[in-house]
Amino acid sequence: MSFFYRGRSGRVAERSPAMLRLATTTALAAYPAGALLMVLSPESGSPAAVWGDIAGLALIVIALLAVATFAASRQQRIAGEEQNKLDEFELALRLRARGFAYNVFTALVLIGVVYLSIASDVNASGRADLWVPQGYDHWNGVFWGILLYAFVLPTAWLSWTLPAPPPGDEA
Amino acid sequence: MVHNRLPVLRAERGLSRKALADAVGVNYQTIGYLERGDFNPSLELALKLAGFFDLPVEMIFSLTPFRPLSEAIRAEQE
Repeated sequence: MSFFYRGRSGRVAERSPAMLRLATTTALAAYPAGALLMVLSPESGSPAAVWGDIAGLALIVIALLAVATFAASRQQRIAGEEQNKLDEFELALRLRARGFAYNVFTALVLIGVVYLSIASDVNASGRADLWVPQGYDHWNGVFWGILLYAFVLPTAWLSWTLPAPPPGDEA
Repeated sequence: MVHNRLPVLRAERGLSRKALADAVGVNYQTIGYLERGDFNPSLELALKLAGFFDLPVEMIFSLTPFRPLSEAIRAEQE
C-alpha cells in the first residue's frame, strides 16, 4: 500500500539517495516519537503538559514535512505509481521493496500486539499501569502511524538499496 | 551477471537513452541501469532490444565479458 503524488508539470522529482535516506528515516522516527511524547505527557493543565504537546506536535509536523519532500520523487513513484505505468525494472524493484516492507511491518504489528496483550494483562492484575491506547485520540494516532509506516517503508528500502541513476541523458 | 554492448551500440547510432527507452517501452533510467549491469533484462526486453538494433540477441547480451571492439578489429586485420 503506497501512493505517488505527480506534480502539475508531470515531472518526477530527483532526490539524492542521501536526502531520501534522511527524509524517510526522519518520517519513520519523528512520528512515533511525537505521538509518544503527546501520549505520555502529564495530564493537561500543567506547563509540562503544554510543552509536551507542543514538542509532540512539532515532531509529527516534521514527519509530515519529511514525507512531503519525497512524495513526488522517483523512488516514491516506483513504490506507489499505477502498475501499468512502470517498466519491468521498476516493477521488480517495487516487488522487493514491498517484500521488505511487509516483513518489517508484520514484525512491528506482532511486537505491538504482544505489548498490548502483556499491558492489558498486567493492568488488569493491578501490578502496574502500562500505557494502552484509550479513546479516539490514541487510536487516531495509532491509525495514522500505521498508515505512515505502510507508505514510507517501501520508499525507505529503495532509498538504501537503489543506486543513483547513471549520469547523462536527462529526460 | 549478464554483460551487454548497449552503450557501444547506442553510441554507434547516436541514440540517447531516452530515444532507446521510448523505442523499447521502458523508462530512460532503466536503460542506464541496464547498461551499467545493475539489472538483467527479461527475455522480452532483450528480444525487443535485439529487434531494435537488428542484431542477434547474443551479439548484445552475453554471460561472459565481450572482447573490446578494438581488439576484435585488430584480430580480424591480423
